[in-house]
Amino acid sequence: MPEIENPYAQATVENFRRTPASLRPQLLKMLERELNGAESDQNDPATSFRRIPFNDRAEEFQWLAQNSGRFQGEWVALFGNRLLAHGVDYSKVSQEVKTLGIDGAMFMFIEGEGNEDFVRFLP
Amino acid sequence: MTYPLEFKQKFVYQENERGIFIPVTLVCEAETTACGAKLDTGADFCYFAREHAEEIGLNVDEGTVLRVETSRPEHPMIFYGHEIKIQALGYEIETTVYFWEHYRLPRNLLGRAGWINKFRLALIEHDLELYLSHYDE
Repeated sequence: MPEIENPYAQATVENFRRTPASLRPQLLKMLERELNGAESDQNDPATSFRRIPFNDRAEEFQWLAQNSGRFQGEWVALFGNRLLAHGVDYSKVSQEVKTLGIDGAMFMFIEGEGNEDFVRFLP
Repeated sequence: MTYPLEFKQKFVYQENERGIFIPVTLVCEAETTACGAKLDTGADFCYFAREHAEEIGLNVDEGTVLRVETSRPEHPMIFYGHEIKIQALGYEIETTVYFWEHYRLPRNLLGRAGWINKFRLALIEHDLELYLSHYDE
C-alpha cells in the first residue's frame, strides 16, 4: 500500500512504529475511536454551523477608520455612523447605550500605543 | 495548472493599518454582544475582552484556564475558555472563546482553533476582499 503524503499521517505512522508492541493494539483502538468520533461529527453538519443574515457593519468600521485616533484607550459604542457613547469604563458606556434603548450597538476598545506584551505574545 | 475555488460569502473589509477587522456577535443563550475582532492566522485560539463575556452573562473565571506566554515569561497572560456561539460574516458557529482575566484587552482576535479552522478562507489583501465558506458547506 502506498504511503499517504501527508506530514501528520506520516508522523502518526512513525510514532506508531516507535510505540512498544505491547501498546499497539490499545493505540489502534484509540485511533479507531478518534475516527468514529470524527465521522459522526462530519455526518451532522446541521449542528456545526447555521447561516444567518449578514451585516457587514461598514458604517461602523468606516467611522473607526476615520475617528478612532481620538479615542485611544477608550471603549466606543457605535450604531451605524453614530457614536452613542465612549469612555474608559466599559460598564458606563454599556449602561449609557442601554438608556438610549438602542439594540445592536457595536462595542470596540480602541487600543492605544504601548501594548508591547500583547503585540509580542506567543499564542 | 490552476486551482479554482468557490465560496459562499464575500466580505470587503475596511482598510486598517492594524489588521483585518471583522464584525462579530458573541452569543450565550439569549444574551448577545456585538464587537469587532481581528482576523489573525498567527493566533492559536480566539481571544476576546472580558467585558464582552460579562455582557453576555458569563462567569469568566469559571472557564478552562489557558496560560499564554508573552515576551516576559514571568508575566504570562491568563485566559478562560468558554463554549459560546460566534456570529460572523453570515455564519453562526459554536466554539470555544478565551477571555482575558483582566479588563481592556487591546484587541479581540479570531484565531485558528475555534474560528479559522471551521472555514475555508481566501484573502486578497490588495483588494481588501475576504472570501469564505464553512468547511462543512
